[in-house]
Amino acid sequence: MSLTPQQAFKKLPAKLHNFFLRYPPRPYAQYAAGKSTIDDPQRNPFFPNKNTTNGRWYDATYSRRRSADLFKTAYKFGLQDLLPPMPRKFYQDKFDNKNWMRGVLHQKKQKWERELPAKLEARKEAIENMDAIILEKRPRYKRQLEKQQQKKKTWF
Amino acid sequence: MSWTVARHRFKRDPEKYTGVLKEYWKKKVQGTSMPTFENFTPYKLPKHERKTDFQVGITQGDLVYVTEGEKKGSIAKVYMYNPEYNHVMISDHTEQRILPKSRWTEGTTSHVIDMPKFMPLTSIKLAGKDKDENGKVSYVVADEVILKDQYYDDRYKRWLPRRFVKHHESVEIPWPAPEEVEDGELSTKESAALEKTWEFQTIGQPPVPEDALPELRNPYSQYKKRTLTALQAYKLNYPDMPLTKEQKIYLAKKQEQASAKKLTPLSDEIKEFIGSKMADHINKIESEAMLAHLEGLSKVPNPDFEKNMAELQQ
Repeated sequence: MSLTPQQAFKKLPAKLHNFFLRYPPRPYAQYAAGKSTIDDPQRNPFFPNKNTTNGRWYDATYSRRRSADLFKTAYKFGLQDLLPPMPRKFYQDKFDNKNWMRGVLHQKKQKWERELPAKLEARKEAIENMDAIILEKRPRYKRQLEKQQQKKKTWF
Repeated sequence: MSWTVARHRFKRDPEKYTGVLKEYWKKKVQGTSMPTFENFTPYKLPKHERKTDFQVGITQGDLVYVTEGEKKGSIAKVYMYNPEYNHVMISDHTEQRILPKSRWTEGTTSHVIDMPKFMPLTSIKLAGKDKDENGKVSYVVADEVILKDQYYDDRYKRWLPRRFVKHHESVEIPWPAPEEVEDGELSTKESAALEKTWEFQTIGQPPVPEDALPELRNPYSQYKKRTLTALQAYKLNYPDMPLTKEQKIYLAKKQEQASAKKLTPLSDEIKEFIGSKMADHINKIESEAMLAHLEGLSKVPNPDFEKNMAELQQ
C-alpha cells in the first residue's frame, strides 16, 4: 500500500510539526549555515547568535540535544533536508566527514617497523644481484661462475 | 588537629612522666638549688585520683595522731588538706627553712623561718576527742575510717557522709565544726542572702494575665488596623518612574517583535511538499518493524504543539 502525500502528512510527528510552525521547511525559508546576529531574519535557531547592540552572544534557541532529537526524528521520515543547517553531523555523514586524528590515519610505529619494508626490498635486490656484487669485489669469481655454468645440469 | 590540641600535645608535662623519668625530672628540678633551699616537691596525684577532704575523711579542724617523725605519738590539729599531693598540714609540725630576701613577705624579719610541714596521710591517723563525766579527756584513734550514709550538715550547709571507725561501726567520729567566719562591716546577713525574692516564670504561667493585656495596651491603636487609607497606600508605594526616550523606543520595538513572532499555520503548499517527501520515504520502507516504529512516533503527543494549535484555531 502506497501512501498519498495527504495521508503521509498526517503521520508527521507533533514535535516536527511544531518546529515547522516556527521555522518553515528549507525551500520556503532560508537559514544561515552558521552563527549570525539576532536581527538577521535568516538566523539559524540551532546556532548561537550575537546581539550587535550590546555585543552579547545569545545561546542557540534549540540546544544540541534538542536539535539532535529533531534531526533524528526527521531523518526517520526522510525530512532531514528540510530542517535548517545543523551544527553537527549525523550517521554516515558524520563518519565520512570526520576529521581523523593524524595518528589514526598514519600510525607512527616503531623505527624498525617503519624501516622494515625498505630493508626487505634492499635485501631481495641484493640477493638477486649477488653474483654481480661478488664479481665487483673479487674478479677471480668469474672463473667460478664459468665452472658453475659448465656443470649446470640440463635435461638433455 | 587544632592549635589548642597541638599546644598540649607538644608541651612538656612533667606530671605525665612515670618511672625513671619521673625520678630524673625531680632530681633535675632540685639539682639547681642548694639543699637548704630545697623545695617541697612530693609527687602530684594524677587528676583523676584526686579527692576532696570529705571524700578522703580528713578535713580542716580534725584531730590526728602522728605515727611517724619527730612528733610521733602526739595529737595535732589539721590546718588543711591538700588534694593535689594527698598531704595534710598539721599544727606544731614545722621545719626551719632559709628564705632568700627576695622572697620575704611583709613582716618577715629573719632569713630563717618556720614553714609548716606537709605530712602524708600514711604518717597520721584520725583521732576523736572524748570527754567522760569527770571531765577527763581521752582520744580514740582510728586505724582506718569508713564513710557511710549521708546527712545534711547545717554547719557546712551541705550533705556529708558519716565517719566511723572501721570494724567498730558504733563509734562515730563527727566532722569538726567549720571555722567560724566573723561578719565584717560590709557582709550580708545570712537571712538576707537566703531570702527568696524572685521566682522562675514559665510560658505556662504568663507574667501578666491575658485579660489584663487590653488594659495595658491600646486595642484600638491605629497601628493595629489591617486596612490602609488611600494616603497611607500612596505614601508606602513608590511612584512609577517616567521612561526615557530610549526606553520608549526599546519597548515599542519589543512589542513590534512580539507581534511579528505570532505563529501562522502551515500553508497547503508546504503541507503538500512535506507530505510528498514523507510519502516518498515511507513507501520505500519494507521493514514492518520500522513502519510500526514510525507509526508510534507519529502518535507521540506534544503539549506545546497542542497549545499552539489551540491558539491558531482561536
